[in-house]
Amino acid sequence: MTNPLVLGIETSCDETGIGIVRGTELLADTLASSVEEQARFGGVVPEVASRAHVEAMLPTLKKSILAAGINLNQLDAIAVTSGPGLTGALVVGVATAKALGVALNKPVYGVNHLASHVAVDTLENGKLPEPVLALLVSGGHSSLLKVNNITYQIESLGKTLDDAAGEAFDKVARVLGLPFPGGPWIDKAAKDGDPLKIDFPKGLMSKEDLVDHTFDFSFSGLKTAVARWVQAWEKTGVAIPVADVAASFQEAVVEVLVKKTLLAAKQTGINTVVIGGGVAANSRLRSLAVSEAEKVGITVRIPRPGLCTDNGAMVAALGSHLFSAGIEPSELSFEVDPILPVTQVKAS
Amino acid sequence: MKGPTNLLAIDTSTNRIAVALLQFGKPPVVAMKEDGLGHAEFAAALINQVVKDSGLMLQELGGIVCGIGPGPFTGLRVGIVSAQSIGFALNIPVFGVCSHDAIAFEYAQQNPNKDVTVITDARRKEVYWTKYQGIKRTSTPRVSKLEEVTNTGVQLLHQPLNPVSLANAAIEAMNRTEKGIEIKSFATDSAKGDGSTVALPNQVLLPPIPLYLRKPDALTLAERS
Ligand SMILES: [Zn+2]
Repeated sequence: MTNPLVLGIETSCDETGIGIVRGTELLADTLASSVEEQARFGGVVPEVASRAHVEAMLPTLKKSILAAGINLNQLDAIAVTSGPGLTGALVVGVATAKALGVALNKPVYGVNHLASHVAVDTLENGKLPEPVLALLVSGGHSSLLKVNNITYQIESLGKTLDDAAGEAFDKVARVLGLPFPGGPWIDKAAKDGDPLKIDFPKGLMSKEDLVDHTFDFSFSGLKTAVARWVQAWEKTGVAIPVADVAASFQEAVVEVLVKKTLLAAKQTGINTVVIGGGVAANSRLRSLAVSEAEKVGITVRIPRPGLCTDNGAMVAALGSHLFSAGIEPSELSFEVDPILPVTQVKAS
Repeated sequence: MKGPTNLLAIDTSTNRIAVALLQFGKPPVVAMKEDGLGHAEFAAALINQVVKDSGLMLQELGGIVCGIGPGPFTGLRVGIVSAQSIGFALNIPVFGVCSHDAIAFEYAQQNPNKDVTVITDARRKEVYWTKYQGIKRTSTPRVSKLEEVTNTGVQLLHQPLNPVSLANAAIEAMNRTEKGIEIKSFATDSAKGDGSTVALPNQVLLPPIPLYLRKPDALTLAERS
């Protein structure tokens, strides 16, 4: 079947997402977020997220079905994130998907969250070239991938050795007294700042690191450097130049991400890059990636910000690709896997 | 739900994943698995199994009852969201029953009107416990160290749950309600309050939402400063 009707469920972190697609056409993308609840804790608390998923699941599902104008019996398949992510949160989505699968007698695909971040791009920008490069950056992951085939063959080229890029945004935001989640606030503050004002360290960009960790990332040192800089400045008694710190920090992150991605494109000879994950909503990353890539003849594809952050549509999109490719659904007893490697696109 | 009906019962509040299907006039069909970490893996398959073994179609179900705990949260949620989802997909009612009520109900069949305390594992060297006189709940469920459980009557220690008793407790409650089934809501959540002070309404049929007796393990920014 070329245009299957697929429901996607995402609960790997703090967003309860339900998406519905027909083929690569997006019919509904409904989200309930516990981010306000999480903000009280200054970060994602797994138990808080899991509780919120249970509360939000049915209301979100109902909204999504209504928005898509379908009924559940029309579905061809159900897809759900089986990992990577927070175990207690993943379990809620997986239990829902399996129960719906049993009740409706529909196939269920447990799918990889990271692969879904790549697949979602097809909802906006059409078929993916093969192979294609993917840069995935969020609060939970920072990966550079070579996607030979979105349904079964993905290689990891590099990943963060410590903090995820989005985590660094959250931590720096906290140091600057900005709310959680830090990404949008840093982005906003940086608009009035000078990105060249402070020369923060750029992780794993030295000559040796570019040999040993060509496509790996590290944001922990940068985060610490920002905290030290702010501490030192506080002693002067002068107000912290939040905009300049935000802009300079953001520039350091974005520069590394873009340089390493384009280096990967050059080395692999792949000329299309998909960028996804929450940090892909960052305006500076979007503009720098596009302008730098253009200079070297590389095409950059980034879905709109709402599809970059975690959502159900991305899971539905990957499910749709799997179903269309004739790939068998997962066994009914498939497991959630908090550290599911990206090489495993579908839970067995 | 009116008249004789087919009732699916699911409980994941203990290390046992427990599912039963009760048909009017026939022996119940049961499927269980002891696996404290495998609730999300096996619950759906066990549900599928009881339906197949009973020779029924899922569409012939009239309602679902699920154990709402107390119990370790990650596993507990599996049974509850499974019940909610199937109920939604089939457009049939879903009821929650305090899981300890089902254990007390089963004990009371042989030992009516005894004072008993149902005690189940809460991990972290603590237990969940609820007091009963016969099938009547006389305390709200609590969580504490075992030594702190006040010692009156029989202690039913670390009891796994029989899903048939869960269904029967619900059926008896439905039969007792004359004017349809009235379910009062209760709030257990969540990150805000102290979960251990949740007062459970003194009735058997409850909304299918988890009974949390602990707050999430985290301090808010306000609490930290
Ligand atoms: Zn993500």
